[in-house]
Amino acid sequence: MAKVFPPKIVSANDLMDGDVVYLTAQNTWSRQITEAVIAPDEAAAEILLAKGEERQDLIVGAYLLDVAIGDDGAPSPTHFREKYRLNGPSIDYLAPQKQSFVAQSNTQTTLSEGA
Amino acid sequence: MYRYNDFDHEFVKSRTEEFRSQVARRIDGSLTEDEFKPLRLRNGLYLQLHAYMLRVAVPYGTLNSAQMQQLAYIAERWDKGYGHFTTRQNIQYNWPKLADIPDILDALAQVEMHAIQTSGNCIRNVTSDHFAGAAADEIEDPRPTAELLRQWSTDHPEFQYLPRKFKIAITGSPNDRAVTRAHDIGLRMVRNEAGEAGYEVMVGGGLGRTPMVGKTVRDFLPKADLLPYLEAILQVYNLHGRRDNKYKARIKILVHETGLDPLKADIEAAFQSIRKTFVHPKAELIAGLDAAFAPPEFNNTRSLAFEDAQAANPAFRAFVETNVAEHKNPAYGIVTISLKPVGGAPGDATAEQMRLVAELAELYGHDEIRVSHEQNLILPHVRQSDIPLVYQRLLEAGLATANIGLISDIIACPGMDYCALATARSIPIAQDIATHFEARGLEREIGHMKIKISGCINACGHHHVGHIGILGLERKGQELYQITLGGDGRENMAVGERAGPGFSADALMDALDRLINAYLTVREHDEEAFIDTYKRLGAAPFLAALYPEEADDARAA
Repeated sequence: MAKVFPPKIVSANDLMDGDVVYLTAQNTWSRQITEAVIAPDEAAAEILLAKGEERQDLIVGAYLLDVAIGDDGAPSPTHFREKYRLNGPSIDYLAPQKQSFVAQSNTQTTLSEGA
Repeated sequence: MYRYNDFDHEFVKSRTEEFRSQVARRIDGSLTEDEFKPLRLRNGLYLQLHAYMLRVAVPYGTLNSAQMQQLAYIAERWDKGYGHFTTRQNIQYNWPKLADIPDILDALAQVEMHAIQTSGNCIRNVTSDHFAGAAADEIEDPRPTAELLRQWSTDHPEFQYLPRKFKIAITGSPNDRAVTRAHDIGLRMVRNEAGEAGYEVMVGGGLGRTPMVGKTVRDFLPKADLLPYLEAILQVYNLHGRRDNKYKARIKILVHETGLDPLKADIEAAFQSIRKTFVHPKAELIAGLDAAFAPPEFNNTRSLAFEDAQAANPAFRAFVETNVAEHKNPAYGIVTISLKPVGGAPGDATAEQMRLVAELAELYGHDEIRVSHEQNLILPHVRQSDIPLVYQRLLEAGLATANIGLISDIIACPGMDYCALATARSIPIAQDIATHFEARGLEREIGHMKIKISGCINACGHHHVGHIGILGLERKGQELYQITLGGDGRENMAVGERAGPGFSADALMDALDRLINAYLTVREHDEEAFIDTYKRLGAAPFLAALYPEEADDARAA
């Protein structure tokens, strides 16, 4: 049986601020994964990646990643690394260590919440 | 501490200007990423999962208050209001923007700091004992030597393209707090029979995917021979170190593959040749370095404030027990400020907290601050009678966590919450462990314990030398945590042994619970630390606790 090809999208980091960006159907880069253009097969994926690599003046490090397609047609990453890339650090990084440690232990993010 | 001379200022300024133009050319499209990447890495600029990361060198972990104030300013002005102190005694900013980097480097240069050689295949920031210059057990302050090495290795033309990165650590004390045996070169100050200070030289230590304990190549190297001898080591490595395979390119592999004695012979031969023509630094320079790190003028007046505060306040007494170490001056103490509040991210400090530490150093600490490889901050010189005041201020800022050396004083690399190399997260594991054992009220009962967590095989979290080491990996699309036991980063360095199959994040805490319960059951007495129990009994009781089903099977068979 032929191996099933998981649908793919192209991601990179924005040149100026490093933000995670996705290649869109209009050949632009978006911070919204919902706007990513999906490659249904290997040939399409190769073309998409080549397109992504064209704009080196906008992004750094374009690559393909596997996604699952939701009922609404939107892609979501299947690998946990890409989930963290999409959602940002799983920890409460914007309010680090501000409170007394008693207060801290009540506000800390647990592993399950982070996933 | 050492202050830049005109040469240092000029060098850092010219590098910053050069990088400003390189950033501009990357932004306007004249440089491709392939061209720009090695340039940015030479200046400490990485690209991580969600953002750029700037790694700023803190030479041998020493800062003054003006520098700490500036680090706080940078965090607030160009980042998200905090910084991360690392196991390399550096500070990393997690969210800088590319166009701002030259301004950040300018701001660093104003306080005699930079990000040069914090990446790339060169000699990295020299690390040292975080109690240097203050410790009661010290032979000599290692920082004049560390500064000499900084000057020698910075922009050294012969050593800019080594086979791989190269890390040097130095301690002036027989009790090794700088994990010197886990570095490419480790230096330990020793005295010879005539009473002269010199160095024991160790080569080929390292963690990462192939952990190795550094091997002694010289029991006693006279101080004056240090630079030509190190050049000899680097020269041998530069010539013979493997460039065919990144994973075999560190000097530890060369030591391993060549064998200690042949390599020693090569180093000695190179040394004999180099020393003939070596131009030693001038005596004034060496004297200047010694003077730069002369002890501050201690105020030896004592009061009973320190003792009284301990008698009156159990929380302060607990703080002193864990966070205050013996100073060479009996009127003083070394205060460690924990960056491990229970539930916090190990090593993170807000701009506000950095400012407070700077202020306390200025008011009560002879203007000196240290960063430890264990991701804490240190006020190395605090008069004992001032420690209650310092404690009160720390308490108000959430910085008085009394846990140094305890189970919640965890080293953790940034892991997959930030790092592009990570295979799993580290910080949430550290947070969960600290919170869990705090909730069980067991921290003090467990006592001395070093848990170290790395989110990938590169071992920035030093898991190999954790009494309990945790390595985050990926297995079948899930984060998986492998436990090592019995690692030790001190002078008798030991690499921890892998316990067995890894645990999912969900199963990890139960496993650690069983492990700690087993330790509490089998330890000889309350004062026997986990690592000592492990050394006495070996792995068996701990493996049985980690893998009870296998132990049951063995009994049934």
